[in-house]
Amino acid sequence: MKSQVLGIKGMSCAACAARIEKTVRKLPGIHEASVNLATEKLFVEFDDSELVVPQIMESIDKIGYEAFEQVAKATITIPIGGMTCAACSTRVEKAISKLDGVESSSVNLATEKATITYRVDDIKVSEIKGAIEKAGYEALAASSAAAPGETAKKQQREQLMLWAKLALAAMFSLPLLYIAMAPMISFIDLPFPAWLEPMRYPLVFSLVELALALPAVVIGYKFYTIGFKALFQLSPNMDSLIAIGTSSAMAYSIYNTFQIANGRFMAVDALYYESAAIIITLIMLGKTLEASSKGKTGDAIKKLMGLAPKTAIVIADGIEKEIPIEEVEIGDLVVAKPGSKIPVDGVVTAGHASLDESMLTGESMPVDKSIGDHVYAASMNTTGSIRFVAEKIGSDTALSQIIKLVEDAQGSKAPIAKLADTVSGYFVPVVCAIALLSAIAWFFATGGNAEFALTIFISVLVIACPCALGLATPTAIMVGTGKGAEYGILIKGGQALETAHKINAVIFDKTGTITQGKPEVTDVIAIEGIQEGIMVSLAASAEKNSEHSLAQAIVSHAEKEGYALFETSSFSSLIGKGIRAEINEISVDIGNRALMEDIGADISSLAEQADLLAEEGKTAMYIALDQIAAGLIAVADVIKPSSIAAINKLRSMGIKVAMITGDNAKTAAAIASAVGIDRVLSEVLPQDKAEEVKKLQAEGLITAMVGDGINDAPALAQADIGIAVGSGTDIAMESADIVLMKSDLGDVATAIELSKKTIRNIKQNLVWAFGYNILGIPIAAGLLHAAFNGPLLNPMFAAAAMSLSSVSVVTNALRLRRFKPEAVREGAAA
Amino acid sequence: MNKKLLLAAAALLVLASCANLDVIGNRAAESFAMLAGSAETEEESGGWRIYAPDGESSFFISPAEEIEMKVSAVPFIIAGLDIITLDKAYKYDEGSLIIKRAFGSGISRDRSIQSSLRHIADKYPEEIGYHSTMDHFSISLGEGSHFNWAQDMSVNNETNSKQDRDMVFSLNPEPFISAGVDPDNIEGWSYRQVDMHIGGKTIKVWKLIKAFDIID
Repeated sequence: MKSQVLGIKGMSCAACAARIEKTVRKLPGIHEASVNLATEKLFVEFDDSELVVPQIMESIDKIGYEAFEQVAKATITIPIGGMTCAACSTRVEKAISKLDGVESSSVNLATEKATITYRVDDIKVSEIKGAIEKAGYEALAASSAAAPGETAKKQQREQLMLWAKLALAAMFSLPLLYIAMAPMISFIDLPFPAWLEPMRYPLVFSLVELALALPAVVIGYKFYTIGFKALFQLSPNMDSLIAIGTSSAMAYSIYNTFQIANGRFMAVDALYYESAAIIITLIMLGKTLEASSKGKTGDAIKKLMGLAPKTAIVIADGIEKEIPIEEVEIGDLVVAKPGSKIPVDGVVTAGHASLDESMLTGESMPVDKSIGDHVYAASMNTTGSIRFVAEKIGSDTALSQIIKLVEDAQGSKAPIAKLADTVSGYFVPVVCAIALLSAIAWFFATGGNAEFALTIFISVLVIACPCALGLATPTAIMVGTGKGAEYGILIKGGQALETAHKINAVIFDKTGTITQGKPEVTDVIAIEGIQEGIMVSLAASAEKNSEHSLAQAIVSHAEKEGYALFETSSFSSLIGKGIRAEINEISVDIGNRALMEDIGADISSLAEQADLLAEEGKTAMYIALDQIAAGLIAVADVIKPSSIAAINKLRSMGIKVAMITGDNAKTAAAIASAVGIDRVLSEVLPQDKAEEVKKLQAEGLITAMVGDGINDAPALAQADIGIAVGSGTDIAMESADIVLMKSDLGDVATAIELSKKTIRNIKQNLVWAFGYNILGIPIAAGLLHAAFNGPLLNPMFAAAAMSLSSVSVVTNALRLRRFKPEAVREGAAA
Repeated sequence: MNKKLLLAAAALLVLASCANLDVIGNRAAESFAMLAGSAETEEESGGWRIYAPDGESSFFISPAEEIEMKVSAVPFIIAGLDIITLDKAYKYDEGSLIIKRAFGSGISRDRSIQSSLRHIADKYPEEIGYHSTMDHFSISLGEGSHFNWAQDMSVNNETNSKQDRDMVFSLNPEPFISAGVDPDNIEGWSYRQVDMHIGGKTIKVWKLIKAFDIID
């Protein structure tokens, strides 16, 4: 017996489901067939000796539906321990990708996480983790819904551990450096213990050096366990370079210690214990500084995490009680007093308050909240007191979703990172080869000077660690996305951040994007003999039955003006034309010219005014009472205050701006003209918006579509970058590459600006990382020495330079933290 | 990690306790055996004298923790030495210059020449030196004078061997220069800078050197 879930397409009603069930049940060997219309799935249990899945699918296809095998996929994030360089992340990625059942995998060195999409039927998480472990890395506790901010906490713990290890390593390696170097410094009379004089007590000297070097080496044992494992699996990484370099130094020094014990005292000049220990310590210093800086790249997350309050006041049995936030349940009645933070998401049931929602939107102006309004966790109640019902708690709150989204974005990989990954894959083996060849060449060139050859070998290995290369992209992405979140711009991944800088055309949806999206009554014109108030009162009474936004505008206008609303005895919606209602035996028709023609109402006296209103971008609706034209009500969507400046800003950046709308050409042209858009795509149905985007793309334009994230979903998806103007709702977050939390179009330019800065930062990092290696390796290999009798690179200086390169790259990425949108800079200057 | 550290420390302790850490002293005493073989016993003092191939220069050691270096005074006098003004640490005796040092009062008549050196090396390890550039051991006679011998005289002619002399008499030139000697014109002696390991550092020091090959 086998059970299988099949997906079904083409069902529109319960009858379809029943038909499919009936058809499948007729097949031989079927024991159970059950269709869920809502989920569009068929659960079938059958005897697999009599029937196979393709036969079931074929039977469904025959009756006009499409059956397909449900491939259950899941995405999981596994924190990886032990990665140190780009070669490591590439190696882990390869190890995961080649597993059957893994659809995609992306390993981020900066966040030390692997994000894997896999088919749950084909592979288990334990198998994925096994592959990671086999590759020589540590697969930590995986989580498909990681608690927001967990990564940041883990990073803090790791940083403390790194500092402690560094301190311990330095405690041993610094005295070692002193005793190794003091005898070589002739120009300063450094105190040196007589019992340790290398030429008088060489064995004591070498054993003390060994004793001081060993703890540093033991503290850095991970370089060896990971490095040698990777080397033996023919995938050497940065740790392999450190491991080979320092263990060569240690092995050679131990050999020389035995030589000293055997009377070859001049071997005391060929001890490299201090090199091994100092290299380990310096690399650890680099790693610690890097981790510290990397921690700062996640400051945005930490800030967001810090916003959530720890407790909530709930009303239980009529009594206010303060409880930990974790104990708040959906449906709890929560109290928010002035000066307190909203603990969970909910809907206001009583009271009135002004909330600072800047954590969600970046907008610092408080928002008034009253009954029925949504409130979001971590917003600050500035004035007033409210009670609200908890709707979303824990990881479901908008704040948690934002944290998760930013974390995911920071963990994603930008296409530009692939360059670094590809190079890193070849880099380490090539460096090993260069180190070996240089050492051999120098050994022969110096007439068999093994010490010299070893120095060259270690220097090349140590200076060439590709850490900087691996960090160049992800650190900048982390800071860039974090900075975006700070300004209420949620960028959903490295790819979006990278593509955004190339955008040269922005298409704005009109309604709700350029305009407020809430039409308002702008003009009321009643013909002679009709009282304006009565006409509006009757029109609003009729429109009260409609949910159309234009109808709601008329109702709101009547309510605002205090006009009475009457009961309607009948109501009908006339698709494409308007509405009809009967109020106190008066027939009320509201709609377009076609409706008026249908009922035979003479609108000749109003037509000219209607045309004028249309030219102004307003929607004019004729009103007829008992089939006689009574007047016009014009409704228009109001342009957002920020739209004109935002569009001008984009144009000043050399970006083409277009507007797309379902409105008629006249209305569209009027709005476009008001905001300064010259390219208008009007009368475009929602389903055709994506086609219009395609047309622009066909012109070679890299497009961004800016919409509200719901109606514009296909166009948002079609555009190179979809930008949703939302308020942190689930839908808005899901539908676009970038979400503007403030609904301020000025943030479109800010997002592009941020993208440009981030990409420039990444390029600087890559140039630095590549340039450093291109310069460092030849010097370490002794090329300058060979050609011009120039300087050689001591392995310890090589280690310092290597660590410095990583720190420099991360520090450069951190410069992005100073990013301020031009609008903010201009505001500050003013 | 703590366990690993402890293991490493324990291994090191074992290694240290197994080894006699004064390898220079030990090796110096061992290598002295080759010279000791050619020593002549002096009945009067109960010590042993090792003569250089010139038959005049010699190194003396006694069981009573005494050492002495004796070289011909003639080349120095020809080079301008005024015996009267020479530092009292240097004794002129029948055409020879003698530099003598008594480490202590320990007397043990039953010691051999080699065990006498080992005794000094054990008791006064700081007086035994090693020159890495020459692969020589030395014993200090004080005032910057040393008697040196090669660790392994048999590798004298081997390629890449740093050692080029088996027995070296080394004098501090300052007292001689003060006593009127032209250091560049002492026949059979060279006036040059040599590496000395002092205070953990290797520094260049001017010396008067007379070196001999004992084994070709």
